[in-house]
Amino acid sequence: MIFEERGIPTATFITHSFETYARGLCRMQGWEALPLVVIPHPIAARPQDELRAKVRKVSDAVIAALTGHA
Amino acid sequence: MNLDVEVDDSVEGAIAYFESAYEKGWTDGLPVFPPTKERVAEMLRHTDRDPDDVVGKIPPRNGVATVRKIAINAVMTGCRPEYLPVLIAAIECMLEPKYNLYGRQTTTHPGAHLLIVHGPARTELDVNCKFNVLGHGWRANATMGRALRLMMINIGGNKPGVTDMATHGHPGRYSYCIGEDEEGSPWTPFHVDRGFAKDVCAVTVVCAEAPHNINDQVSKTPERYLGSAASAMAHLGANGIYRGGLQSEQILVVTSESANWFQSFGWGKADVQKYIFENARQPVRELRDRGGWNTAPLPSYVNKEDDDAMVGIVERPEDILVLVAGGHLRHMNAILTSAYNLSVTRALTRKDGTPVRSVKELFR
Repeated sequence: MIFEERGIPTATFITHSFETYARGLCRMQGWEALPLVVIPHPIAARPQDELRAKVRKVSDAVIAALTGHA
Repeated sequence: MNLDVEVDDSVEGAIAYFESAYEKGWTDGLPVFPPTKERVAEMLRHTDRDPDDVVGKIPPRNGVATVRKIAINAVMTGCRPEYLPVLIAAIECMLEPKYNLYGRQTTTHPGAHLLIVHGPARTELDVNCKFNVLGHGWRANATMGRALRLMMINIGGNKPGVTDMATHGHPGRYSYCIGEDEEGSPWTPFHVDRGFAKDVCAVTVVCAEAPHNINDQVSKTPERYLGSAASAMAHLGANGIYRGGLQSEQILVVTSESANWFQSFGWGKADVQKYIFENARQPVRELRDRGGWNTAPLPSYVNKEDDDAMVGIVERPEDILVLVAGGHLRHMNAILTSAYNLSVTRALTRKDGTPVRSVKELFR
């Protein structure tokens, strides 16, 4: 939120277990439009290959978030 | 949310109020008192600040904490009116940026807001500093700590599993409040170390995990005794051991017997801090690829490429916060923090900022 307020585009990664929470916090902070990139939970202590696969699936969402082309 | 409601001030009315408040999400789960206009007005006579003065905004909702809203929550938890100045100062502490309240309110870590009362306010308000200091039995400790939690809920929007992702929490989230045993301590009080006069009323708030007892009835030297504490403070599951370079403070509470025993060897508070700083450590080889490895800065003195390098829990000896509290017997207690948040100490002040030597100076 602080980066976005300064005009720096962001893509915030969260896992789906945090999605309701993250959207609620964004709303409370007046940042409903903050671009969130949701990947499947869990990510802690998972193999590298699995994590890379999860991130590749959302690459379009990351690009959209950073370029403003949803 | 308007918590200051008209209620029927009968027993039945009070019970109905609790049921209704619980359903509305205004409680910690325990019964609350109705914040009637009379009780709130009586509490507001115990500060020189105006009821509509804004103390700050409590995240994550950024609800506005006015003096009146603080009083309403304090009435709800059963605080006596004269506790109000402590609570106002505590909220001011928690809203300083280095406290990182937004992070503490929303993290998965089980932190609770430990309120520490210093100076004459302890005796004036009957804050327990001795036996069972972290436990039950004293109204001031029980209700002031609880009031802070209720403010996090009702003003800050704290809700487990919704805005508060603490996986386990801990019982201190109901209430977590102590006083320092300044009379039993051979050392300068904590608030004096932080630059306040001994006879000034002050509070410290620090977001901390549950207390963990350190039992060592046998060690014959300070080094060996504190070795037991160092081990408890630098275990492999501790947040702090992986985040010692990220605004880390860790707390050691010692009883007056233990403090005086240290002093009998010529060990002052700074010697205790230095020993814990140097010995509450784990080698890089044990920490690498475990716990919170590589997610936060280690202390600047650590070469993380060296397997034999010893990783401390804080950056400097003074970041080990040593408090004297508890019954006059031999025990210590480790109260660990997550790091990435710092304790804040403030004096109780008049509205012009002058520190007070008695809470009574603030009563109207």
